[in-house]
Amino acid sequence: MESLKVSNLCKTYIIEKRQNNVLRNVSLEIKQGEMVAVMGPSGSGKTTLLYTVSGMDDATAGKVDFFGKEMTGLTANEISDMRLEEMGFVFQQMYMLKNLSIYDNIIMPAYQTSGGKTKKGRAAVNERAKILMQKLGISEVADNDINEVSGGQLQRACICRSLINEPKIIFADEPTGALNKQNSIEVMDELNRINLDGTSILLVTHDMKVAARCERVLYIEDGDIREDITLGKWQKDQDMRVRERTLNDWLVKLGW
Amino acid sequence: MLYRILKKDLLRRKGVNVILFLFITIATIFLSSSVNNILVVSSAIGYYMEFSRVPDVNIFVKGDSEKEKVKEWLDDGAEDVKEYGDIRMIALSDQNVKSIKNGKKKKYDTAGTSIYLAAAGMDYCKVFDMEGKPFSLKKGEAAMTRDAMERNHLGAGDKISISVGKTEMDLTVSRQMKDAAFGSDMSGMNRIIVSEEDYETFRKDEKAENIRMFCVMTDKETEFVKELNSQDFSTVLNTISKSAYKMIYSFDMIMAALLILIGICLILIALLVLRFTLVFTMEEEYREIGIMKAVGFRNFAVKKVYLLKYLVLVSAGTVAGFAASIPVSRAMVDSVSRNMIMEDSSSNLWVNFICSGCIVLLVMLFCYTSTGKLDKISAISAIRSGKTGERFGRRTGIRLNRRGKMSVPMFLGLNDILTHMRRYLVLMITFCISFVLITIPLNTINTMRSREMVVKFALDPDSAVYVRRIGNAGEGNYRYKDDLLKGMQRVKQEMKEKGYDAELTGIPFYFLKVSKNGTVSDQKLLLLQNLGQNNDYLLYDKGKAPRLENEIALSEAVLKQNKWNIGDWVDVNIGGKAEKFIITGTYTDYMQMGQSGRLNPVIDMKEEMMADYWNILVDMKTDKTQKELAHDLKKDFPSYEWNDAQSLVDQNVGGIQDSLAKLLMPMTGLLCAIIMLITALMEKLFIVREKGEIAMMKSVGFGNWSIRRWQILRMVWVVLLSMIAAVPMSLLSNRFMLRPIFAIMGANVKIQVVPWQVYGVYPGILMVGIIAATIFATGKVKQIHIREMNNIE
Repeated sequence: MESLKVSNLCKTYIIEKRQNNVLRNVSLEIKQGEMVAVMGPSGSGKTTLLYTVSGMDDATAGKVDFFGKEMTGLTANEISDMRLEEMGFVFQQMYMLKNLSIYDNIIMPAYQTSGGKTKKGRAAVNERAKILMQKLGISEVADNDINEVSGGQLQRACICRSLINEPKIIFADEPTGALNKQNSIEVMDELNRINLDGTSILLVTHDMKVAARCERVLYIEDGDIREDITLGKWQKDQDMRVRERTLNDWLVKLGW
Repeated sequence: MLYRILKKDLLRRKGVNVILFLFITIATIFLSSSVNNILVVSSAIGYYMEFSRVPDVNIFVKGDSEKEKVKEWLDDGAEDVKEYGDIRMIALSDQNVKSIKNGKKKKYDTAGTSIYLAAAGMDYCKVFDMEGKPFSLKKGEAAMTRDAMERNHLGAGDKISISVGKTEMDLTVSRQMKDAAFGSDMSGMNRIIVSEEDYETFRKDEKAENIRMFCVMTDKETEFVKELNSQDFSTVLNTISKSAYKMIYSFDMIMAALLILIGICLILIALLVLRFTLVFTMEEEYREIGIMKAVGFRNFAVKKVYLLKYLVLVSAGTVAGFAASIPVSRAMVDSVSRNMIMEDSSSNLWVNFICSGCIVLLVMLFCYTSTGKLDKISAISAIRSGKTGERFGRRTGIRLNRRGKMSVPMFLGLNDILTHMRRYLVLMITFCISFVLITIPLNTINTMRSREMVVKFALDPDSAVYVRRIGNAGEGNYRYKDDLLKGMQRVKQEMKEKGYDAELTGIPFYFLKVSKNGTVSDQKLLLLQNLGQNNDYLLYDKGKAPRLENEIALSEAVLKQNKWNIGDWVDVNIGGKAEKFIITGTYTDYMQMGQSGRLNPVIDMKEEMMADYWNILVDMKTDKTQKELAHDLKKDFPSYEWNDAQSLVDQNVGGIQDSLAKLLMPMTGLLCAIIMLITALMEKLFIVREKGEIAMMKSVGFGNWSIRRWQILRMVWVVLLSMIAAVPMSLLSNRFMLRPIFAIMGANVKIQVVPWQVYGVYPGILMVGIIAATIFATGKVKQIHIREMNNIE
């Protein structure tokens, strides 16, 4: 079953009375449990695609089905609820509320759901948050302020937040863009592990090493998906150099 | 370049700029027109007194028996008398005057003042027409003050009827007049002027109660009055000094003083809001500031960009305020000139101009100091948006996971305030000021309506009703207590015949000389005596009520002034003889501005002439309120003056309670509008600052309404905290502002606080306004796009 099915998606901006077509009839499918990367040159429409398919931005035309439910016909509130309960988001910058501790930032979206408003529900959220933080290795910074932890820890906290409501899909926009090499590896290890647990992931990246960890890579140019390549499911002990070489050759062929 | 930056800046945040502009405009209108009014009125009072030749001291003498004796003393005995003269008047009761409408005689409304009849053409305490010119009256004509004419619905050409004993005359009110000495109801006196010929006709009636007013010019007012009191003049009723008249006219400045207070509050609020906006704008533009500094701009050159914007805004606001203050000033001066004669009745617009200039200077100076932050920050720190790279201590917030079932928006609101208290301080101070401002008129009104206030006017709040002016036509004014007792007996009988079984307690008062070992109090003291069974309601701060024949109680002001104490013996001159009394208790009240005494109920004062009598307490069983009973009794006994406690208190404090009650809703509305403007302004700024966080919340699935609820609930927390902070502030304002104001008239009163009004309804109204403004301002949340997450700090 497709977790996400996009058909003929268009996004047009009017800038100074001139029409700018950022996405042109994009169609794609992401299967349940699949991890897909979107690559492409700057200004090709990668981030716009991510924002539009996740309901963070309105599409000008086209259709987005999320687990068989058509998103384009939903109200803003219904899309918000869907984002809250069924989707997770990881951004390049580690956006968090600066007045809250790491722990409170993580649990906040879960407390906002209907299930998180009862005492029992909140106890379950706290339990889940503790397990997630332990898994991602940030338990010791739970009570810290967001300016008291490293970039890697903060990004892992953002991943925890994206997972707190047990989403069906995670959208990640350059998740390692602001991290050093070591932190990038750690964050990608976590995303791969989450994906192996059954969560679909759609990520946008410039980094070939990040894209090489994905099952499938889409190449977008001038607002349209030109090609895609299937690298197969990532395995922990797999030799990454083979996947990276395959991806590199493909990208070179596309003029990357 | 500056022009372009300025244009961009002014257009970018239109709402905020418009609100700041409005604040400055309103504050300028209030301040310039009120300062103008106070300057005009204070100089006009002196001029009016001089122009009308109001003397330094007026001495009221009953009859002519001591005329020569007083003149002799003024000629030879009294020191520092520069000149003096006298005016003859006839004291009238309200029964002696009737207004005539459609051929019918109607009751004359005195508003509790004593009425005197005088002849035109006096040398002192002169009267003038409304243009400030002297006038003469023909036989059959009368002139009256504006207040008296308006109160009795009389216009020029209408008729009044005056009777003195057997002499009765219908007179045509030919003109309104300005009367400096008797023109204000606050003086407790009013004068009707008739022609010399008519006056002589009334004077010749054997029942005419002639009064001679000696008008004395002296440089030493207090010493003169003290010296006068040490003389044995038994017919001297009262003395009034020029300073007392001046004080009465100073009440014309109360409204202006109130407007100045509001204007100052507005300026304070505008300064706080300006500082917040300025600091906020600078923080938002730190990067640009850093770049300007980095390329070599001097600090002042950077500041100039910000200062220029506010100079334009403040200048525009003050120019608009100055223009609007011109008609306001004119209207205020016009209303004053209706009561006074002014040397120059045009308002001096230079005052408004200087005031407006001062506001520009003050605000710009404040802005300059607020930009001081720019001097301290280095170019690189500014480029890093004010962050130096150092990590500071933990924030003092609360934990979401420890908040039980508190909703996320509610938690976020509370947490914001606890972590950034300073950011919300401006709002809290503004709300606190508004809450305290609204408690002032409320507490004043409730205090004026309290039982204690009634007792402070020597009345029993538990009495069924009060009656005054019980004299029948032809009886004239009561002179001795037996006359009063007889009258009371008659009224009691008349009431019984109509089914009212009442007990009456009369309160005659006397002006008597009180001394101790030759030390005489500054003036003849007003001494009250309760004649009847109702004696126990009066309050005493120390000691006890006088009961025995040689006991007296004196007010605290009298004891303090003369350094007398409870237990001291004093001499009271009664019927020409000095009687010894022991002081048994002391109190404060509003009788004679707090300078009074209370005689015991048993001493027989039949030899002493009464000055007058206070309201008679009427005690009887009834289910009706005082107001209802007074209304019924007015129908049954229309010739007497029936009153309820509240009306009497109102009459005696010049109707302030009524004016305040009328002012309460407009003031609440004005305050509400002001704080709504501030709330909308601040909320808009908060949203701009939090754009990134709002976008982030939207990205993780928070709906618009959840985010708006966060903002609204945060404002609710701010309001609640301000309301809590306003409680002690309001109590302090009661103690240090209202109590001293109430004490001006002589009594210490407990300021009455009605909690459901002061801490419930009125702050509730303001709270509703604040929340409505927040809901309106948070509409902007909808327009924030998730892409604006990049604005997160």
